[in-house]
Amino acid sequence: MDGHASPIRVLRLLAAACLPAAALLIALGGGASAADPTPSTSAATPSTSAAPVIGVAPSASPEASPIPAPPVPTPIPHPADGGTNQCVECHRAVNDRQAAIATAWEGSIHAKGGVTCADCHGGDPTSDRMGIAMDRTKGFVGRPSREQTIGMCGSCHADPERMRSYNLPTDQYAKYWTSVHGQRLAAAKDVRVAICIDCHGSHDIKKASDPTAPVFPLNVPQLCAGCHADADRMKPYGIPTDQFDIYSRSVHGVALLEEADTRAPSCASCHGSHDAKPPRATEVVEVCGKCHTATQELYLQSRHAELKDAAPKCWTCHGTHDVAKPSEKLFFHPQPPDYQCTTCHDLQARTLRIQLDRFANEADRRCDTCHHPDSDIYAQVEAIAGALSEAQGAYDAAGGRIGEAAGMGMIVGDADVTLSEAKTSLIKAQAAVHTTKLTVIAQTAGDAQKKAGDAQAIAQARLDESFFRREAMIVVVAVIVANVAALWLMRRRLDRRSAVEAGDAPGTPGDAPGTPGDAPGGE
Amino acid sequence: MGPDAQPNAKPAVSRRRVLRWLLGFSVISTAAMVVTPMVGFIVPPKSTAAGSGGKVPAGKVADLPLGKGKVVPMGSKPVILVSTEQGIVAHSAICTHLGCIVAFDDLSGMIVCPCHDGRFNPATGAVVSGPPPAPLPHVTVSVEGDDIFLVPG
Repeated sequence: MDGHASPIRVLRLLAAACLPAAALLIALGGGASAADPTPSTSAATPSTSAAPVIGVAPSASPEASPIPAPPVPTPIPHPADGGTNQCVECHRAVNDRQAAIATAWEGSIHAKGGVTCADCHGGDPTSDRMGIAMDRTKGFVGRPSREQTIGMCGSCHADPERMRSYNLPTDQYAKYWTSVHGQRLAAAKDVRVAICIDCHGSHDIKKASDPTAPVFPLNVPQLCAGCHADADRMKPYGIPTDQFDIYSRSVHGVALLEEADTRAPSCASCHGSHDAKPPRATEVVEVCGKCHTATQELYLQSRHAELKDAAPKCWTCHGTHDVAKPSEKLFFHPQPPDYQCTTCHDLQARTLRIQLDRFANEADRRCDTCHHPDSDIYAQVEAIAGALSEAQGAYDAAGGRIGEAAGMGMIVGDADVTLSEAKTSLIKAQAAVHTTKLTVIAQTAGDAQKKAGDAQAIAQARLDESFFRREAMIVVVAVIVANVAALWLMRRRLDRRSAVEAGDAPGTPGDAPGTPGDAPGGE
Repeated sequence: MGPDAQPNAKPAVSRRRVLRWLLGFSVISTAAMVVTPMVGFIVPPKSTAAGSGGKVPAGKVADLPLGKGKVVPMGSKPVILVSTEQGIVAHSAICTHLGCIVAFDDLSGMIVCPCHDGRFNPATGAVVSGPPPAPLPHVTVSVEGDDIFLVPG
């Protein structure tokens, strides 16, 4: 019996052992894109092309338990160098490459902090004899493996006492092993994943606050793209490689890469750095809310937020890497879309469930992708869009009228102030869309419309005043012209009469026409 | 000439004098009518909302307790006044993010934009948090007795 049962039992045991590992690998492989609705032009492997969905109960798609981090290794022991570093002296003379390494180290933050070659490579830094300095029997490590490197960095950087004087965090090691990179390394021994030196460099490590450091915020997108935009490197993982291109055209990318605004999010802002992984559907509101605090507060008041797991999240309407400036076009499709029940419903479970694939297409990130024209909510969306449109129209009209008045030389300072108040209310109304509450939005939009109307009325009064003054000027000028003309006629008549009188009394001197000042009897 | 005319008699007021008076009146009234509206355009009427280059009254010190702030108009721009330990300071009240009018938040003691929760240091106008890309521009304040004045830059 045992002899027949053993192979089956062995197979069962093997299967039992392999299934969790396989499940973990699949989860890691698909994890990078499964919860990420960004459209991609890159081909994905079949294993990662399953339609990502949110709204299902968390228990329906349990995540594999992460592999715990290995213990933090102890620092590499080596004799105290006493302020001398023979490694540099010898290696500088070996060849140009070794000299460049020595020079890079000398300019690094490690060199300034007293971290020397032996701290990472072991050996005896006091000896200039290769047999002693690089004696493996006495702890010389040489070039550490990629997996060893993580522990080697962690042996110092996870030590709170050692890091205290630098005021550096010490959780990077633990975080790394929770990242997609670390988990893949732990699960599959995949040493192609990013490790410490891929981002920070090795011999030429710089402070993260150094603008020339690869991990300086402005440089992070290019740093990540170094691997993630490399189609060959990403091919085994089946994840897109166009994120950097998409990101660099987004509002975030333009702000960071073109405007050098270090407050703008880079890859690490949303994915994490040492603990890099794509935000999950349950996390995205918090991730975006780190910066968009006010918007998050408004969203949390919404009917959407009440739907919890089934709720549309930030990325449903705004996308992920391709976040664009929001506008009223987010309300409706130009033409009614192709309605599919499964876009928003799980037909079998009879629950709400948003199929994120549909929203990967920017053109479908619209309210009416879910809300059918026959529904009550569609009418509410129309009312919201209408209220905002009217407020925007009133604001634009007031601005135009104020511009007219200013162009005619009128003082419109009070109208400008009122228009600023209208703008404040208008922007608040636009932000209030995240509450999905018509009453709140309509009230704020109405306030904006009223203030815009007030500003327009002030500007119109200035215009009316300007018109009146110009019309009055025309009347005045007309009166002046008539007066001058009348005087001219009167003078001509008097001159003629004088001429006639002069003709009646010839010889009278000094009474010639045109010389009234010479008139003898003038006074 | 009529039959009763006496050519050698001088009239009480000569035609020329009448003419001079009329011309003088015309010249003066013409000049006045032309110059007056021009002056009106060049020197606009004073308005409480329009800064004409001088100091703009912005309220009383007694109405602005320590640690409080308020928005007041200065010409066409709203300005936020804050009473700090270092005295009364003022900044432009136009948020440097999208142009909303900021307000003083008594709860946090900060200048807060109601649109996207941008927060500014009340003493310096520097960005504390949120999306504003730049600090609120400083506005010069002059305190004379109990009166606060803003000095347009």
